[in-house]
Order: sequence, then structure tokens, then C-alpha cells
Amino acid sequence: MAAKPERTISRERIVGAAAIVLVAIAAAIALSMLDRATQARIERNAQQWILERLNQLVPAQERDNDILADTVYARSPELLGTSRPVTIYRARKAGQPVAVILHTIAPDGYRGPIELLVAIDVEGRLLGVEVLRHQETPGLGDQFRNRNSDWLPKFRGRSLDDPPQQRWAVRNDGGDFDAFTGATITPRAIVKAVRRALEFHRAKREVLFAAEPGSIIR
Amino acid sequence: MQNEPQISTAPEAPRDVLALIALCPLLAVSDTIPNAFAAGIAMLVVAIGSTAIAGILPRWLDGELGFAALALIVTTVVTAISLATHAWLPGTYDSLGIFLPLIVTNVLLIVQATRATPTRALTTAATTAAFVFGTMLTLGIGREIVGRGSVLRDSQRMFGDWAAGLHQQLFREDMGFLLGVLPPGAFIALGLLFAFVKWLRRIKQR
Repeated sequence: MAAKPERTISRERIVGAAAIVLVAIAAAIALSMLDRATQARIERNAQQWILERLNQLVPAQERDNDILADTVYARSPELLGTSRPVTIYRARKAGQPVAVILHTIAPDGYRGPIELLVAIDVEGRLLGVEVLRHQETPGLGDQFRNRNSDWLPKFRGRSLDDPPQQRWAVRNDGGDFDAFTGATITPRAIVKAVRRALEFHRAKREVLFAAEPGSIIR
Repeated sequence: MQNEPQISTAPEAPRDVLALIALCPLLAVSDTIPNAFAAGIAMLVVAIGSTAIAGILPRWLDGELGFAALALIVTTVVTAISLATHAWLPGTYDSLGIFLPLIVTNVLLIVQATRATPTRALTTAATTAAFVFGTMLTLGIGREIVGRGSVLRDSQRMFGDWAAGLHQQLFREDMGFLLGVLPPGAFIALGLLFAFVKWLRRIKQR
């Protein structure tokens, strides 16, 4: 039998452990200081980023309200297909409703949810659709970025009557929208999410502009 | 038991093998030249920065404890760089953000093997990181040309508006070989690169 292992804890170990703790504390202090120093800037960047994209859909001269503050939230899994709250930006001019932009999610992308901005005017017509974030396969699922860069603009002017609601699908499913070569799931997910945004708009158009900023529409 | 198994801490693997393994976590972001460049720079900064900070640790803090301290330092530096990029270089953060934490493994493999004086540790870390940086850039050039038919695409997102004119399209993007852009393409490109280097060496020996 081997000798009983040494049970006493050596001095070096305690000093060593203390040193590690000190390093950890120093790291924590440094990081929390940097976090505090960058937080405001990171938030401002994020707002700037989303504002640029909102302005692409509803140009700044067509509205006069603070669109980043004039928001409501939608929580309507049965209409929008996502359980996450959807931010709705409201554009007004001289107090009159101009358009809403839904920051919605296509939950059934090929490799995870696709974040979209869907702009709809008061008549229920699409002003445009932008993809904010996605994880689709480069070269295949992200063709709306390059190879098929005219795909997203085709949503402009469409509504639930054009094409008729049952043809709001990709061609493979008997609809009016083209799919991408080698990738059907991504366009299918986007078309579905846009259709859902339009359906939500139709169902809730009465309350969309009347609701208090910050309130939740169910 | 007669022979106590030897607990070997950090076998001294040849440096190019370590650097090769250290490359793997970052390979995916070598799909365009700007991405590869930014990831490589971030890695260089982290490798040199953490080695410099680790240099002020007391010498007796070595072995497992030293490694724990080093891991803490590297993760701290990476988090700091990630925060700073997010705040001051949002364009770079958009394309690299989720990959930045991978630099931790990357740099730990590079720095771990050096248990020398601070200056020597610094030069070793810097040269290894520079080697990784060079490889990343080479892969970036190869993959962007093969996969997208372009050079320096989207560089304005990385370097600011002045760089928008740097983008050159060599042939139509549709003609690009998709595998070049997809993550597996990175490994294939790396394999080809090493085959090429080996071939060069063999020719030199003759």
C-alpha cells in the first residue's frame, strides 16, 4: 500500500490560491469599469444602426415624430408566429399615421430565426422588407444580399390582396414568390413572416396608432 | 503500484504544430480579406497584451496555478477587446462579434507553451501570433477570390468609408466556388496551403 497522502495544505498553495483570487478581482474591476465606459456608446450605436435601417424603409422627410421612442410591442404568437415580443415603430407626420415598421422574426429559417423589418403603410401596402440579422448559409440562404438582390425589393407595393392571400407563398408551394436556387426554406420563411406581419396589421390596424407608446398589443 | 503515472503538464509540442491547432477556432472567419485581417489583428493584440500582462505575475506562480491565472488574463483581455470593438468599431463588431470569444482558445494555445522570461515569452507569443495572422490573411485572400470572385469586399464596414473603393470584383460573383465561402472550405484551403508549404520545403532541400 502506498503511504497515506499528505493531508496538510502547504503554505504555497494558500498563497497561490490567494494570488488567483487577486487576479480575478483585478480582472472583474477592470472589466466592469470598461463596461461602464462603453455601455452608453454601444446603446447609441445600436439605436443609430436601427434608425438608419428604419430611414431606408420610411424616409425621414416622410415623418416628423421620434420614431425610436414612438414604439409599441406586439405579443401575438398566433398572428405573428413568434412568442417573442415584436417591436413596432410608428411613423407619423403632423400627427397623422404614415406607416408602421415591425421588427418581426421569421422563426423557421434554415439555421435559426431571421430578424426582419417589415414596413406597412396605413393602407396595408408594403413599403419594404429588410433582413436585419440571419444565420443562413452563406452563398445559398443569403442570396437576397447578393445574387438575388432584387428579391426583397419585390415586396414593395404588395398587400394581402396582391397577390391574394392564398398565393402568399413561394412558387414551389403554389404561391407567387420565387425561391432561390438551392435554397427554398429561407425564402419560404421570409414570405411567411411578411404575410403574417400583414395579417397582424389588418387585424390590429385600429389599435396600432392609438395605443400608448410602450404598451403591448396582444 | 510501482510506477506512478507521470502527470505531464503541457507537453512541449513543436511550435508550428501548436500554431496550426491554434488556427482552427478562427478559421471560419477567414472568408474575406477584411474579416481575416480584423480577426488576425484582434488575435495579435490579445496574444501580445495577455503575455505582457502575464509578465507581471510573480515567477513562482507556475504550473496549474499559472495556467489558471493566464486563462483569467486572456479571457479578460478578449472581453475587453470585444467591448471596445462593440463601442468604437461597430462595423467590425457586426461581422466578427460572435467569433471574438474564440480567440481565447486560440491565444491560450499559443501562450501556454512559453514558460520563459517575460521578454522571451513576449517575442515567442508575437512571432507565433504573427505566423497565425499571416496564415489567416493568406486564407482570406484565397477564399475571397475563389468563393466570391472579389478582393477586399465590404472593406468599408471594417476600415471606414475611405475603403469603399478598395473592393475589386475579379469575376462575377455567381461564378464563385461556394465551397470557398463555406466553413469547410477553410479547412480545405488550410490543407492546400500546408501541402504547398511542404512542397516548397522539399524543393528547397534538393
